[in-house]
Amino acid sequence: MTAPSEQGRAGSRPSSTALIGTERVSLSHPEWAGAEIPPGTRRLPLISADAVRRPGVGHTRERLEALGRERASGVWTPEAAARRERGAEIRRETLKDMSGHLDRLCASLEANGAIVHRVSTPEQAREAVGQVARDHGVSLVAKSKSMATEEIHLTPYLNGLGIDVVETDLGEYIVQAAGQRPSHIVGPALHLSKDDVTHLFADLNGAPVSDRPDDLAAFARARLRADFKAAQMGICGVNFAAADTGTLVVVTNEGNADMVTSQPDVLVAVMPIEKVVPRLSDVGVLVPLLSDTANKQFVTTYQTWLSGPRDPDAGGDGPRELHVVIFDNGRSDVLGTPLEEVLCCIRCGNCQFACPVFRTMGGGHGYASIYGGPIGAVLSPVIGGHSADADLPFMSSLCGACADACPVKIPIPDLLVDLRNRYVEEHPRPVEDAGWRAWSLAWSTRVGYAASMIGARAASVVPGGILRRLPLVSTWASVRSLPSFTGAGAVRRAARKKDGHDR
Amino acid sequence: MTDELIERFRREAEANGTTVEVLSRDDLRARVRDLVGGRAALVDPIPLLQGVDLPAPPADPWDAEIGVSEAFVGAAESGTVVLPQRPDAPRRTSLLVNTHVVLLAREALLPTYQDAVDATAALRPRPIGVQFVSGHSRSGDIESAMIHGMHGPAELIVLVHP
Ligand code: SF4
Repeated sequence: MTAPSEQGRAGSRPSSTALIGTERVSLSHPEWAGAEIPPGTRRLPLISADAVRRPGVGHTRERLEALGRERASGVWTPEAAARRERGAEIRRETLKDMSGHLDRLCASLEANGAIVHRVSTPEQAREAVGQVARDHGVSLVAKSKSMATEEIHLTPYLNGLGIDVVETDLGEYIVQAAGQRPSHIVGPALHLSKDDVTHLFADLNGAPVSDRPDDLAAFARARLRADFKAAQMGICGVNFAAADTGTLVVVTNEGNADMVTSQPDVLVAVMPIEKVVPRLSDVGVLVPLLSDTANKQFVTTYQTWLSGPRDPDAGGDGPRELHVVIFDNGRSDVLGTPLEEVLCCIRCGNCQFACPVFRTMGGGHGYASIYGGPIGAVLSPVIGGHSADADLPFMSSLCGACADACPVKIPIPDLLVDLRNRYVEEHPRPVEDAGWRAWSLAWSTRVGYAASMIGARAASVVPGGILRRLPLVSTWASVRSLPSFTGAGAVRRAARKKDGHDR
Repeated sequence: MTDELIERFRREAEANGTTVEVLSRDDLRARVRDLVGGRAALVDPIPLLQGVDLPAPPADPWDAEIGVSEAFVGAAESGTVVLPQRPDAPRRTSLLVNTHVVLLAREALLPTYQDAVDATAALRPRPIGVQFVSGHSRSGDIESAMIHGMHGPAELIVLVHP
């Protein structure tokens, strides 16, 4: 993150108003909660142990537990259950012909006048965005929330080109100003209290600010409004991209995506391949499904549809140029394997609220990866050959709460077990290495142990070698027969099929 | 005129914090004039408002306090209004202002969200953008406290007319 220079502010190249004062920020955080995760500097079990003991974590844990009870109970009303079935079907239908849908999406986008950049790696994705910015002499970008841009480390890259990039979602703005990264997919600043935000904004302001949430929001609003107005380029994520019409759909409650996608002259939408859906009409199912699980709303306040650039001669607003960057980052490699189901994810964050391990650690920072929680423990090892994230699948009690809470019925525990198998095959001393440490950590504190115990049904699939080394669980472990380690994901899958679960 | 669909729309919209008024066409014209009053306003060209005495838009649209738009369709199930973005109906009307007023014709009110999605998807020529709006701008990012008017309007008023 760059703090705006006095010269930049006064000159003709606009720079950020919202980021003024970031050099004064005193709110501290551990290295592994930072905006850029230090690559492999510290072992995951040690980081997660720190996360469990972090001062103030109890407060966050309570908030997450309350939110989990309210949102991620895994109980579906008949109406919601029907929508969930339909949503799960649409996502599987998408998987079956991912490359066909992507081809159709690209053709539709281009027919609408958008410029498509279909790339493979994060480097290529960043460079595509950077090139657009350079071509237009951009110095200030207003950005709406997007995990995809976190995944490709876009902001530091653009900063390196001398471009200010401002997060405009309130939670994202808070974590950006604090020099941290989001701790939850839909609640990026969930780990910070109102007092933390008050101190942070007072630092930015260089003077005290009121601690009322409305006043804090008004402070951010005024600063971000100046940036919406001055930004030459917008960057947004994409929730759903309809292949049949080339329409991009973005959901928010704040209206920041509407600002970002309609006021700057140039817009770049960034999406990983799995955001594609076959038909625009599918958002009639998927938007309510996402809104219900992410926010307990029937639909979010705003859904923004983007179908192309404006005609510069016709007046009105909207971008003159619409670029769409579609990246893969290793996802295509899992198509046709059991792991492909991770690409059904609609990023609702419900599995994170549901997860006892995620709550115990006070959010996603302790996973030391871009995507935390159950979805992160599956997605992170799958994308981009992140060997540093290979041990993330051990950060789970396999209690199954994530799968129950998932609106598109991703069997996350099965995938976690598959990935543990892969880890074991690829690492010489798995149990003593990451597995044992992560597991012993989970059971080494009273709260971690209690949280994990709610998932005692995991006993039937936990690798035996690991279980027998856990003194605290020996009583329940001893009364269960343990299946062979290899193929444990398949064992779970078969058992649930027998029980009449189709997935 | 009021009926079940309007009542459903009203219930759902009010649950989202939206104000809903059902008015005759004449009353609606007077109501818009009153709501705008002397405030800096962005008003889209709407046939129903022709001849209503409204102030000229401010030199800088970011100074506008109130915006008036017409919905393409509405969804009763979710209290949603749908606003296509066109050269004469720019996004700023619904976005830069503190109070947003939307006119919704009874015949454009559809039962479900899916109905509104399908009707909008079939719209030709396809608008460059569409905004589905189900309430005022909000955020829950500071300890889940409800914040009104985060980036968009703090107040949404839907005027339903026959
Ligand atoms: S895996 Fe399922 S519950 Fe988790 S974020 Fe994705 S869609 Fe939501």
